Amino acid sequence: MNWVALRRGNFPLTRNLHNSAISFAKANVKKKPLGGKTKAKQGFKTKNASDSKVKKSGTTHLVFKDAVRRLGYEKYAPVFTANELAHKDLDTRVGEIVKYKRSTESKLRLLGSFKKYQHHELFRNPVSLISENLIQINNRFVEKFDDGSANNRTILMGDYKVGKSTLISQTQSLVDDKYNGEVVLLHFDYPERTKEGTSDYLFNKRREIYQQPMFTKRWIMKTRQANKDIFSKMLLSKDVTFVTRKVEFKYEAGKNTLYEYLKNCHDFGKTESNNAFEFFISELKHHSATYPVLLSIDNFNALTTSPFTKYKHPDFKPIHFKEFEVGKFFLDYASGSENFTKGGVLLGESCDSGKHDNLSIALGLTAYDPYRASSLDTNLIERLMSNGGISVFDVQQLPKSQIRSLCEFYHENGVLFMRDYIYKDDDREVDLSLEQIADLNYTKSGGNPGLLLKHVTMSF
Amino acid sequence: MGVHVFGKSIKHNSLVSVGLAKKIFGVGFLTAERICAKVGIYPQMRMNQLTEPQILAINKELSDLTIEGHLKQKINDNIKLKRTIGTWAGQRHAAGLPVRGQRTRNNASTANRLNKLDRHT
Amino acid sequence: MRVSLSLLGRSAWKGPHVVPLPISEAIKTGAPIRTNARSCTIIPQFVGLKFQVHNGKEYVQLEISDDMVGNKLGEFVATRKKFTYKYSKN
Repeated sequence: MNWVALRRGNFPLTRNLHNSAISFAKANVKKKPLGGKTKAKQGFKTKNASDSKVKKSGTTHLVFKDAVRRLGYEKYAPVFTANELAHKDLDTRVGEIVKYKRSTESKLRLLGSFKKYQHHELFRNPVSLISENLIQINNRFVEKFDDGSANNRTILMGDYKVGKSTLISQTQSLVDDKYNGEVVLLHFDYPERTKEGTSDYLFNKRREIYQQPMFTKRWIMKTRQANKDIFSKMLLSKDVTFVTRKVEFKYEAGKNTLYEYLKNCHDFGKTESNNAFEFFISELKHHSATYPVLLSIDNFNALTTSPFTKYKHPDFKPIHFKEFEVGKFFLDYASGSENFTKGGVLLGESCDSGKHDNLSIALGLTAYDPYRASSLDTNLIERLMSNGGISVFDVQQLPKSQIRSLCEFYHENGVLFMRDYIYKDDDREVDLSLEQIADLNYTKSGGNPGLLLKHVTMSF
Repeated sequence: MGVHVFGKSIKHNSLVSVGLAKKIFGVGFLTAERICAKVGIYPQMRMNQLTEPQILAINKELSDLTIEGHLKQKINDNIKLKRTIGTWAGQRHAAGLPVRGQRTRNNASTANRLNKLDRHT
Repeated sequence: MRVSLSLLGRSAWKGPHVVPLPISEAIKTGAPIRTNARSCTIIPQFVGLKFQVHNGKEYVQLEISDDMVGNKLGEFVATRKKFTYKYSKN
């Protein structure tokens, strides 16, 4: 707009005063409440209601991958038929593509077993493939639940995107199916959260340990919802009294259930330190003979790579993760110094968290080098090596036949795009069949299911 | 929207340690983190999440330090002492010129701006 | 003067940089000490004495006071003339 002309009083013909910005500014002032603080608007660009943009429901402020997950594209994916993952006759079903049992899937969703960046939004339900790895983990880990968790500790290791986290969720599903839902699933999908400083912390003087009320509370809520049925069957072994929101609860042993306790006890040290988490774990331990416990900690190497948290002692020394209530719980069960009578501890490795000799020495993969002792956490290594050590499970790449069946499945579900026309290349007609595409993708991914999915979705 | 700590209004959505370091003269990032550790504020806590007792505790920690007016007074006094005993550094401060042997043919604008006997008024 | 300041850039085991000067004589006679050692640190024994410190051209008289302890002798004797603009017709 020609402001010089405006100032002189020569308004342009195309725009009258009543619809120019000045009149809108006046109208806007009227709308404001009389009593409240009004901030003087500067500049000429004042919008009225019709001008202002309506905020759309898209989640564009998120990172692309987060936005894709948040938008829930799986709702629009085609329906597919696949059998459910079951513990029975597992050995005979190698190479089959399965979905999770409905009840298990909802549990795993609550626990956070399905991670971002696993491309679950491509399919109606999370899918997985019964691989040789799963058979192995069934034989080596799930079948040994009766030995107790101290003797049944496994860490999943393998290449980037080879399917370690998926194997954890498959194992959870298997265990859930094997015990017919009568198993406690404890899952930490991102244990870094205990050390990155996002939760508040306070010192429990009696137990000489730091607590993280915000983190514990959120984790307990997820766990409580996922294990609702099983917790409702667990009767308390000890009398307990606690106060929540100025209401005193008195629960008696053998009468009230653990679910009731967790439902009403959501103050995990918010105002002052308490032992609610300790009580919860001791109850699980007490019941673990009848109800086995599967403790799965993904990204476990994030804890061992840099054991010191971002939290500080009052004297400004960094706090070790084992000095936290939850961190101590991790280490107690990962090292086998605490035991669930029936159950297992399944640890996962993350390729994003970096490698460190702390873990590889503790697992016996690297020799201890005394010259590098200053950079090692020897105490942590000793703890992890105690009680027979953690057994290493190397997650293997898939064979070609399974890559082929995955390609076929992706093609059926519209994920793998195949040219349906023939194109000419050097006077030679080329028609890529599914077989050839499977070959190509096997070469590209090297049998790595995560990379396969990446290649399939990111290229035409 | 500000949270008042030690007589300063600090932006409500800044981290506590960052807010203290940015707003209070004489408190840097390290000192701010030390104060947070001593009071028991977690690293990712925001200014608006502070409770009244925590603000009081921070104020108490801050009042033990030489900051703000006291620190400015101290700096001024040190410069003035140098001038009164007649050192070269004192003379350069008084002249508004670089103190540590930098060139003055050009590029002495920072010294011209800052070097005074009353550096912090 | 902070004691640690003089030690900031210098190892503690060396002690302050002091050159041999006829202090005892000066205390007796009260005569000024003529010296070229501009980098000599002023120690508490110097307080009240008179020094003549070389500025590159001549010796400038200087009396040491309490506050000066810890500084160097040369800090109090400028080696440069203050710039003054001299108006000339040519």
